[in-house]
Amino acid sequence: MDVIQISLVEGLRQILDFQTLLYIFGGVVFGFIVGALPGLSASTGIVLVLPLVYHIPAAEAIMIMLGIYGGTMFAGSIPAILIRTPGTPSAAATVLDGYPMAQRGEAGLALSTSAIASFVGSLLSAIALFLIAPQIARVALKFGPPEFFSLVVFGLTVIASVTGKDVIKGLISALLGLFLGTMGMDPISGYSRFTFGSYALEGGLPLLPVMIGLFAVSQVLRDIEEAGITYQVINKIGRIWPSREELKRILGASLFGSAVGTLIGAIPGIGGSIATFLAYGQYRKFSKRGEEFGSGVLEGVAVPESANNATTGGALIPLLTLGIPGDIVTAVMLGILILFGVNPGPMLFREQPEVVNRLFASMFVIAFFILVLGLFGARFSPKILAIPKKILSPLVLLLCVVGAYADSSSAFGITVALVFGVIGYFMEKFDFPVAPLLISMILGPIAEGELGRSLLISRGDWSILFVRPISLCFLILAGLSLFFAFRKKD
Amino acid sequence: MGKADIIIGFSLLFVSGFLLIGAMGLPQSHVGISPGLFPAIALGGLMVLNLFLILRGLKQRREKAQSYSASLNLNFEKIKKIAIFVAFAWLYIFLLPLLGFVYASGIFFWVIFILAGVNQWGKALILSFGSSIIMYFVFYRIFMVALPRPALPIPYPF
Repeated sequence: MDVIQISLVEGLRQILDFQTLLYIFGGVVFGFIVGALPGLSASTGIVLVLPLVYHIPAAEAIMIMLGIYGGTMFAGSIPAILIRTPGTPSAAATVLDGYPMAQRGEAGLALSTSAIASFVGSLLSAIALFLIAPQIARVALKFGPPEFFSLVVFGLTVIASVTGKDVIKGLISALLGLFLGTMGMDPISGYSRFTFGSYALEGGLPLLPVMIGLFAVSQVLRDIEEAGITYQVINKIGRIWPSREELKRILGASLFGSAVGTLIGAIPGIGGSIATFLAYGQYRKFSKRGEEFGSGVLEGVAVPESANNATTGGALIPLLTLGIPGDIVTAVMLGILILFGVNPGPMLFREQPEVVNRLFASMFVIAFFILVLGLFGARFSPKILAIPKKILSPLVLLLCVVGAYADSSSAFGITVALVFGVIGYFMEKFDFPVAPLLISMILGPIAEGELGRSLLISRGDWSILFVRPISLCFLILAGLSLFFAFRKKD
Repeated sequence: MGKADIIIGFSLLFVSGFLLIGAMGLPQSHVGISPGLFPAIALGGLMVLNLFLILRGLKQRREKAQSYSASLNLNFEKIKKIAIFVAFAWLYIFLLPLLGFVYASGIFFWVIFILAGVNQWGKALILSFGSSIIMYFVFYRIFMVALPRPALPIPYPF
C-alpha cells in the first residue's frame, strides 16, 4: 500500500509543473475537438498528433496521447447530443437520451451531465488502474518466455474472436497482421523475409505510416465518399449547471457506469461500445426511472458516458501490465509506446517506474481537465460542429502525408500510409475488423521472439509451452475463446 | 456479402498460397525457430480460414441468392471517387521527388478538396496550395522536418 501511495505522490510531483500540465491540457483540448467531430476517433487523433510530439520526451508525449484519449471519449457525446450522431462509436448509447434532452432545450444540461459522468468514470478507472495494475504486474514479473508467448496467443485469439461481427473475418485480419509483422529482417537469424528486394522493407513495415493509413487515411476516404452530407445542429444550449437533486442522480448513475466500464474495458477486445450499452441496459433494468429511459433522462446520459470514459483506465490495465491492448485505441498506444522506446509489460514497472508513476498521475489530472473543459466549453460545442468536413478532411489527409513522411524522412512512409488507407477503407466496407490486424502486427514479432527464447531454453522441445501451468492455462483459455466464439456464431 | 466473400476468399487464398511457397523456401534453423515458421503459420492459417470464407459464401448464395451490390454499401459513384483518389495518390508519390512537397501537394490536394466537396476550383486551388505552404513552413521551422525539395530545375522559393 505504501508503495502505491509513494508512487502517486511522486507521479503528481513530477507532472505538476506548468509545461507538463500545458501538454496534458493541450492533449485533452485536441481530443475534445477530435471527439466532437463525427467520424474522427481517438485513434485517428492520436496518430495525427504523433509526428508533432516526436521531439518531446517520451513520458510527456504519452501523457498527451492519454489526454487525447480521455478528451475524445468524453467529446464523442457532443455530436451525440447536438446532432444525433455519435462522435465516437462508444458514444452511440448517449444518443438515446442525450438527443431528446437537446430537443427539449436541455442540451446544456445533457452536456454537463456528460462532463460530470465522464469525470467520475475517468477518476474511478484511474483509481482502479492505480490499485490493480501494480498487483498484476507483480504476478506477471514471474512470467518467463513460454508464459509471455502463450499470453500473447491468448490476447490475439480473444481480440480476433470478439472484435467485429464475424469470427472468421476477425481471425483472417489477425493472421494477415501476423504475416505483415514478419516482413523484414528476422530478429533471431537476421534473414530477410518478404522484402521483395526492397531495402526500405528490411526493417519491416513502418508502424506509424501503417497506423496513419488504417485509421486516418481510411477515414478521409469515407469522408470523401460521403461528401455533401450536412448536419442539423441544435444551437440552443440552455441551462448548463445541474441542481443538487440532479447532481445526486448523475453521481449515482455514474458510479454504476464507471464500475461496468472499468471492468469491461480491462477485458481485451471488448471496448467502449459494448460497455456503454451493457451499462445502459443494466441500469435501465434496476432504475426507478427505467421506463423513462430513451425519452431524455439524466441517467440515460450519465451511465453510458461514465462507462465510456471508465473503459480508458480499464483498457490501460492489460496494456501497461501485460503489453496486451484492451481496445483499438490502446493498440495504437502500444505501437506508439514501442516507437518511443517504452515497452509495456511487467518489466516497465520494474525498470521505468518513473514513467508509470507519471502516467498514473496524469490520468487523475486528465479527469479534472475533462470536467473543467466539459462544463466551461459546453457553450462553444456547436461551434466545433460548424467546421465543414469538406475543408477538414483534406487537411487531415495533408497532416497524414506529412506525418508519414516525417517518420522516416522518406516518401516510402507516404506510400505505406496511402496503401494502408485504401486497405483499411475496403476492410471496413467488407466487415473485416482493423483492430486485430494492427494488434497482431505489433504483437506478432513479440510472440515470435518469446517463442524463439522458449525453444532455446528447452533446446527445441515444444512441450515447454504445455508443462508450465500458467502457459498451459493461457493456451487453454485461447482455445476456449475460439471455441466459444465459433459456437456463438453457429 | 456472399459473392464478395467468395471473391475475397479466393484472392487471399491465392496470395497466401503463393507467399507460403516463399516461406517454405526460407532456411531451416536447428536452434530456436526457423525464419519461415511464423510466416508459414500465419499463411497456412490464412489459407484454411479463406477456405471457410469461400465455403460459407457459397452456402449463403445458395440459401439467399442475394445480390452483392444490394448487400454492400458501395456503388459506382463511391468507387469512382476512390479510384480517382488512388490514381492521384500514385501520381503524387511519383511527382513528390520531382516537383517537391509544395507543388506536388498543391496539385494532389486540389483534387482532394474537389473530391471532398469544395465545388469552386479556384477556392480549392487556394486552399490546397495555401495549406501545403503553411504545412511546409510549420514542419520546416518548428519541427525541423525538411519536406522534399524538387529534383527538377524549377523555381522553388520555399
